[in-house]
Amino acid sequence: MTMIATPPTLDVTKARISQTLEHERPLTCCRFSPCGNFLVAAGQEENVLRWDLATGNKTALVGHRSWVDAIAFRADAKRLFTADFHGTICCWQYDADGPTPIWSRIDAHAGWIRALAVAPDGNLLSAGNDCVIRLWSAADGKPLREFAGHENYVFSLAAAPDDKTFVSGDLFGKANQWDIATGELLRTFDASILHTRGDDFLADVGGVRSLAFDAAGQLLACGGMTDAKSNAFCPGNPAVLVFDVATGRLTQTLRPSNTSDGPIKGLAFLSDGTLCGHAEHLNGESSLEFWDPARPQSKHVIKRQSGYCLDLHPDGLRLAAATFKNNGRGGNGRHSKPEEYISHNGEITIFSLFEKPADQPS
Amino acid sequence: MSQHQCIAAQHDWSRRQVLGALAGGAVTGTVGLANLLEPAIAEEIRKQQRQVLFIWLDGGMSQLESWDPKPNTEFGGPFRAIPTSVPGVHFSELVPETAKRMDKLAVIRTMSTKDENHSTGVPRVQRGDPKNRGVTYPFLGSALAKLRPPENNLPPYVWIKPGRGGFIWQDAGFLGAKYGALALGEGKPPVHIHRSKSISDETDDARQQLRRNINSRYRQRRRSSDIDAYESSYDMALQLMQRRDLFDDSLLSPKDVERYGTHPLGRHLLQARRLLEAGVQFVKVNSYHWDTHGDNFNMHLDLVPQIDRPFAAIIDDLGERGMLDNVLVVLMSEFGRTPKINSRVGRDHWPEAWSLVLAGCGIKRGVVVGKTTPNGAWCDADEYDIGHLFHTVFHCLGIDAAETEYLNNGQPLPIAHDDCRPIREVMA
Repeated sequence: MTMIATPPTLDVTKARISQTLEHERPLTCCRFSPCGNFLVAAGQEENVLRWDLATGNKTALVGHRSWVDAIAFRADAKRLFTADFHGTICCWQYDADGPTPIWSRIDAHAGWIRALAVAPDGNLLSAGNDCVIRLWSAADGKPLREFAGHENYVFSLAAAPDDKTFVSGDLFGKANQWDIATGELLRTFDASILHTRGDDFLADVGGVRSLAFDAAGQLLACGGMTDAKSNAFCPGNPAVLVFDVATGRLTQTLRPSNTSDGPIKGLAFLSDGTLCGHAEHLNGESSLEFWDPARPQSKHVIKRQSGYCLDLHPDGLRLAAATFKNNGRGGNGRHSKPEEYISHNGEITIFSLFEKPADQPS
Repeated sequence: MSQHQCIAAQHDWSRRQVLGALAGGAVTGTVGLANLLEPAIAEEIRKQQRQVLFIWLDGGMSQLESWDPKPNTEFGGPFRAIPTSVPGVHFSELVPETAKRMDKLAVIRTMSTKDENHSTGVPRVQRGDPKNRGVTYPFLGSALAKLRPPENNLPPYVWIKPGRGGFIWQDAGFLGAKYGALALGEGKPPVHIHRSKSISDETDDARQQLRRNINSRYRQRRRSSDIDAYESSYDMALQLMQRRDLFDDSLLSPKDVERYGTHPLGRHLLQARRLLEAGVQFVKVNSYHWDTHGDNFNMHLDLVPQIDRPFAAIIDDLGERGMLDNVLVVLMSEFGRTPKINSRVGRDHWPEAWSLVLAGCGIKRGVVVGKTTPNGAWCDADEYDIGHLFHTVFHCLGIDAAETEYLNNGQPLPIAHDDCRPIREVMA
């Protein structure tokens, strides 16, 4: 008789670290490939890193000339899109042995590109410091449409499950919903409490740093922080604003249960409706939080280092977090020997969101 | 003899030139130098009235995001390096306007100081960190008010700062409170600078005389320094009442307002230009909140242009007015920022290797002094502490710091750190 393995059941209270991928530079964004076999990450260097999850082998994708903080995949053609702080977008075949860019747009934006998203039609959305969102042909990188209306940096993009619209979040706390076909600005979700400009600040602080729709497209989550106290340390109170998409009404403000002082940079909805968030934190531990979006209290917490990004595996049972990993001396590293003065590390932590099978070794 | 006075070349602009007139002896601090000198020399001093614009970015601007970029290196950050007007010299792309004026500037890239804390670093740097002599040394503006009392009747040391103003006697240290800073909060004049129209000149003279008489009586049984400070601050206010035009924004050209920018640093540097044009000897301009432990790159993206444009504008304006020969410009912080990037994508305090910018009076133009290691973390050439900078500043202003001393209750005190010397590479 053949034994049929029972598929694991999603249970965030049983979440545990199942794999870690470490790198010698901090990593600030990460995405699972649509096939689920790879994880691609990038951060404070020019190379994009691709890990084969089965073997742990790491491959550098070389093509950018500045930090990369935006990654998106298109499943059908095995395309990977990456964007950097010099305004360049690169398109890759993500499973190639030695990937080189299929196409690049070195002038896609003036200044930093902070967010990418694949539109329902398969083309690519990008946004950044020039306040304009652009739609590009995924096939060859030709410009297709622009979406103008933001008045400050655009940090985040999310395609809506309705297959017709997307949302973009900016520094002023505006989450604009756009019609992809017409370029029309349909409405704005007011997340302005995620922006702070104190009387004595030299700069605006905060913004909609992360966005996520639930699977049904009924809820929109906007991540960031409120009440920034200065533009120097930029300390604030991490927050996720949950909006009812149908009415545009704010239905819940979620806060991490563990102390953090930076914005919620990673957001992801799980298949059971659980919302996950991860905040930055300057000193000490931050946390990966799991909320029922209807309730303000976290239903589960995993303490971790400062985190920058979350992504859900296509199997819906694994979650990747790009986190900071202290390397060597704490503080500012003064009095180190020069050869010991090296960068902090980055770590991709992969959590399995189900109970560990009894037959698996610990 | 006064309690707080200098010896030797305390009031001169060039000790060597003046020593003959002074016969090499100690001079009482209460007699103006011009009264002691041949008229021709006094006139020369007046002609060479030297001034200082001291721009202080409090908290610590990142050298990597400004004057010493290291793109595509371990700690280099996301910004590009761009060429400047001096071939081979590159700045961060965040300072494009200053980069075009590099031929008028000098950059020291190997400042290496001691303090990594603001609370000790700011006063240590602005006092020049002489060896511990058991006294509190004056900030630079106060030191110059003592060492080079201006020939005009304007406040010698004006500090333009965000927030509140007032008379900051603490800056004077052991020199005595009257050498403190007149702080102009938000660049505005002291309150009540506008005398009520109902008070006639005669009434005003009478009440000022009454004030002086009361002060004189009060002084008899108290330390003179306290009264000096009060008198000085009052006199400064009176002097400024005669120069209300310096604070009349309607006299500013819209083009200048646009060039400098409407943010605090822009407005305050434009105000500084007006004060320098009027002859104020030492103008300090402060900007706070450069301590970017969190979100360093987003913050520098927004902060650095706030110094780049008005700094370029004032360099242009001083140059066009022929003032760069007489005005020494210093642009600095208490330290730089760590190459290493922390968990909030910020940079922390880094006194080990950082940069500052000089221009103007006595400064060589278009030079970069020193270099840092390829990762930007350490000095890879002669290191300079703040004592070296003070020797350099004094030299540029015609004060020989090796020969000039303060005299405090009979104790001779060096005006700059004994173990340091001027930074020759940066001197014209």
